[in-house]
Amino acid sequence: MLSVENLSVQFGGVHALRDIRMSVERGEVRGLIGPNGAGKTTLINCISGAVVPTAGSIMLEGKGVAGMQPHLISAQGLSRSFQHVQLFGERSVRDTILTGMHRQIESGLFSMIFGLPSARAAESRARQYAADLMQQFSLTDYADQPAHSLPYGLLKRVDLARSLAARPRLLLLDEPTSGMSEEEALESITMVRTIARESGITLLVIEHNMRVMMKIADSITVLHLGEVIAQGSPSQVQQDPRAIEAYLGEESADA
Amino acid sequence: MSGQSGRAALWWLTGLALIVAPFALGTYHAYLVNLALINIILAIGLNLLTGNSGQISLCHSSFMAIGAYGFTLLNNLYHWPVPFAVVAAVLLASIGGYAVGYPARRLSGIYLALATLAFLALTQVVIEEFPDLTGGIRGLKIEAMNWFGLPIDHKYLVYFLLLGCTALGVYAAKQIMDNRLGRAFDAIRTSPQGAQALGIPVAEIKLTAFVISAAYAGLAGALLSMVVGFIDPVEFGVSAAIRYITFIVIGGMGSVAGSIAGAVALTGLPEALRPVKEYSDLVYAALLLLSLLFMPNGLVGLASALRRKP
Repeated sequence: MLSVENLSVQFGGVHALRDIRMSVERGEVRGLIGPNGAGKTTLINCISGAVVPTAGSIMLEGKGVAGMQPHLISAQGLSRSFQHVQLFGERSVRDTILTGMHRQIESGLFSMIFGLPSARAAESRARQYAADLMQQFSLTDYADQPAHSLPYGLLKRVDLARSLAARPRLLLLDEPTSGMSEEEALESITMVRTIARESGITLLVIEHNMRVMMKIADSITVLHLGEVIAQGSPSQVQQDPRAIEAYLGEESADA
Repeated sequence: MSGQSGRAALWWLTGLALIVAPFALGTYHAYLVNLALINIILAIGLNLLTGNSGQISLCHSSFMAIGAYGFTLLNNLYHWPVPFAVVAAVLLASIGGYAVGYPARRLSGIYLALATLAFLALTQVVIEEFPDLTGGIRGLKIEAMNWFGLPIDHKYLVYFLLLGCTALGVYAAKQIMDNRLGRAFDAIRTSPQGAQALGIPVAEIKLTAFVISAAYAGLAGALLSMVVGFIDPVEFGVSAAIRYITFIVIGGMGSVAGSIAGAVALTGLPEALRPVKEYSDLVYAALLLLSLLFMPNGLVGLASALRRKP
């Protein structure tokens, strides 16, 4: 599904990512962990096209996408959520989720401008799907409120619903549960995982809460200082001395 | 009366008033209503571009000029029936919008303002340098229009065409704002990176906004030439372009209702200032400044703030 080879990113003299190799199977839930500054978000930004890699290749279902424009990569079946939720003006929760479906709503310019039946039908199908997603993420009560008026935890749920709205084949989630309680976090991430399993979506998730991560991930990649230092099943990674030293030890010391 | 039915009643009353207006009003006031409708069309188009897609344009008077000269020349030289000439004028203005929007895809802010200003200067030069065709700075008179020989006073035909076009303009803008195009406009204004990551082709949407907005301006230009009966390049200069921006700023950015409110208020304002004739420019400027200070979201923002308060 996704294969990253020798990927490097340099910002000025700083190596944000160095020689990353990673391959994710179709339908897999892959966790991405590491201390702050390890390069997790940079890696996700490279895959989604927001950052152009300095070297290396990214193959999405056998097609090279490194350095492509984000909206073209998105058209290959990729969607993402954001560490900082991106909202669009005064738009409601419903509209925010519908914005994620831009590419899926197939209506021509002329029929949209004049509100012809074909555009109306496409729009109402999209609205139905958005309503389903809002139902699943318990957002129905907020559907017509401006998204920016919601508290952070709810916004994260809006963001998740929107990233699923595009019906992606690969979904990148950048700290989808930050700002949520552990209970909320487990609930929404389990929801995403269930939808992903049902629709065969491959997930790549950055998540700081290790308990959440251990429950949802099929396998985990550990990044440290821009390099992959461990990779394997959750239990393997938990016992990997380098992963413990770089990240997990710190986490359990905190707890 | 509930808000819903109150609003519906208001719409019906407004519609009825607009239908009887040309018969009830004197020449001058009917002319003002015509101008207000033209300004509404223009403001709606400009607001889609600036208020929603976030691109500034200092050349909307040029798109108007393209529509006005396009219509007038097709009318004067080829005697095209009015509806066909209007459609052609709109298409010509859209092509102008494409010509400006294509390079504008990679520009924003002050650079876009300058690029659109350059286009305005260019259209002014073109109008002035081809006096045989455009009348140059002396202007151009609109000759008798081809209304398929309908035995109705052309004044009324022009008015009802204008009214129909305004209704269509409002309807189309509402449609756009309620479907994926309008959502994409708002998305590329507030977070271009976020929009692109969600699969929205930002450059293409920017260009689409320019083309649609120029089409509105072209329609307004064609209708203006019919109503006024005479066009010259001064009508389509920088001061006009800036006045159009004040329509949407005063009315409310990114809102169809704001476009209507701003266009109507600023078309009527000079008239309301007639009693203070010698100070009217001063009062106009003062009102503009005050409204910028105290109504940052325009008349529409003020209205919704008042509605929330009690």
